[in-house]
Amino acid sequence: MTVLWVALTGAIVYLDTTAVAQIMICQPLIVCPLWGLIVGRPEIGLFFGVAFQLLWLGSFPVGAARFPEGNIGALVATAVAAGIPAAENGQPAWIVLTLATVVGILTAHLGSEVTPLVRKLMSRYSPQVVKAAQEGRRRRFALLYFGAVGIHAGAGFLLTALAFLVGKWIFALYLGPFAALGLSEALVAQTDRMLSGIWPALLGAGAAIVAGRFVQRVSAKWFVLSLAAGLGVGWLCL
Amino acid sequence: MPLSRDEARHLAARSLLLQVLLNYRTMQGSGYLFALWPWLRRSESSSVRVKACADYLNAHPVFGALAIGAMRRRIEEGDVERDPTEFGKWQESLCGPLGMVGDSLIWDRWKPLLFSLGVLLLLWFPAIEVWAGVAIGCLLLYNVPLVRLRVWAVSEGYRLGGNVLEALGHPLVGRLRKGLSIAGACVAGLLLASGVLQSGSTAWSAAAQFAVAFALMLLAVSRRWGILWSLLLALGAALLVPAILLVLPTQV
Repeated sequence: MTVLWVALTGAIVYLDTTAVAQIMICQPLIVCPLWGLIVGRPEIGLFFGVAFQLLWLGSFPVGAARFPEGNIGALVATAVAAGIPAAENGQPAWIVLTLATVVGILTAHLGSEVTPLVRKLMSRYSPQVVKAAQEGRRRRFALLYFGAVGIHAGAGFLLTALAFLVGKWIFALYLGPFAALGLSEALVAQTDRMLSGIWPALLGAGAAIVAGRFVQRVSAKWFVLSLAAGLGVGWLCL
Repeated sequence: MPLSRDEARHLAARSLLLQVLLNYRTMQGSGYLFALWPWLRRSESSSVRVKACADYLNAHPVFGALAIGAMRRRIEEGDVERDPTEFGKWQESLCGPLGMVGDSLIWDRWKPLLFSLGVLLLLWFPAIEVWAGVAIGCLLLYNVPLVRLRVWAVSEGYRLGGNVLEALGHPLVGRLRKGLSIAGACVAGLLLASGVLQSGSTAWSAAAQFAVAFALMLLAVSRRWGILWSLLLALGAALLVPAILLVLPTQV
């Protein structure tokens, strides 16, 4: 049943990313914590919301450009990780967060192949819509136009469902078939120390992406000033 | 006669579906047809006009509202019937400027700035209550100005007609671009500082992992490497840092 709800959410995310309105409810910072909140795992939603928001800030859906479907990837990572119970200390195990991060990145890559397919399909679909308008067929025009919204939603639904199921399979492969019932203490203890580094690594990669997006020759001095001020104030507070 | 406020709002609302038929042949073309359709189907010689509206055009979805207003004005004045070839060339001439200005202001600066500010807040106050405020704030701050911009753009496009690109020469455009760049650079600096402080406050190895991922990703961004492999490389290399730190002293 979870797969259906994830896929429905994925359809909305996919629509908002490129096709309809683009009011940014698709952003990881919105959709991941919301999913976490709904399934009772807000900490996982916050983790992926922050991490994936940073990672995908550098890419945007422009014209004919191919771009990673990072928003769907973030949702799938959150949903897959939220399916594994917390460790003994009440926190999610780092192995779960690390594996889900990889699943999210791979999903985004898979998604970058889906959007061009939908656009190719629209190249053949669009003339029918124009023809209906030229013939003055109001109903057919509306039906075809909103049918195209359905095609986008369907693509988002299928991509999310497939990625979620593959993600769950990868989890079962690495963590054992009963991972959904909880991880063994030994496994968490063995992996936590090594994989807790995924958080600083994600922050580092994300900070580089944001810096790459904003810092240019003309704004470099503002970057350096705010970095120094941030470090100074933070040093005093911490 | 200027476009009425209601008509401008109506066209702006329909511009939200501009990208539904986005395709490699006409790009957003059919989206402009959808936006103007309620008016077009009541107008004369609509078949020629429909074809002209659905021709190749690609702009930023918000700045495309300028094109919607301008197309409506030019079609009303009979420009499509008078010289369809010139109308098509004019449409194509809008693509570059409307796309570039919209992309550089909204995709490149406004959206990343707002959401990285949200991330910055959540890094220091990681609570779901704070997130609720951040999410509502980001959505309102992002959408309210853009809705107003769409309505204004439709009216302004209609007023300027064929000279719609004059709207992009507004001094505010340049000032906004510069201001958002500076604000973005400041947020990027604060984010980097936050990352350093948060990683460094836990363990030296975490700080090293942060630094390795940052350096590799910065290299990837500057060299324009593919995002997927760059991310996997940066994250993988960072995860190996503790193992290297353990091995190094024994080797020395």
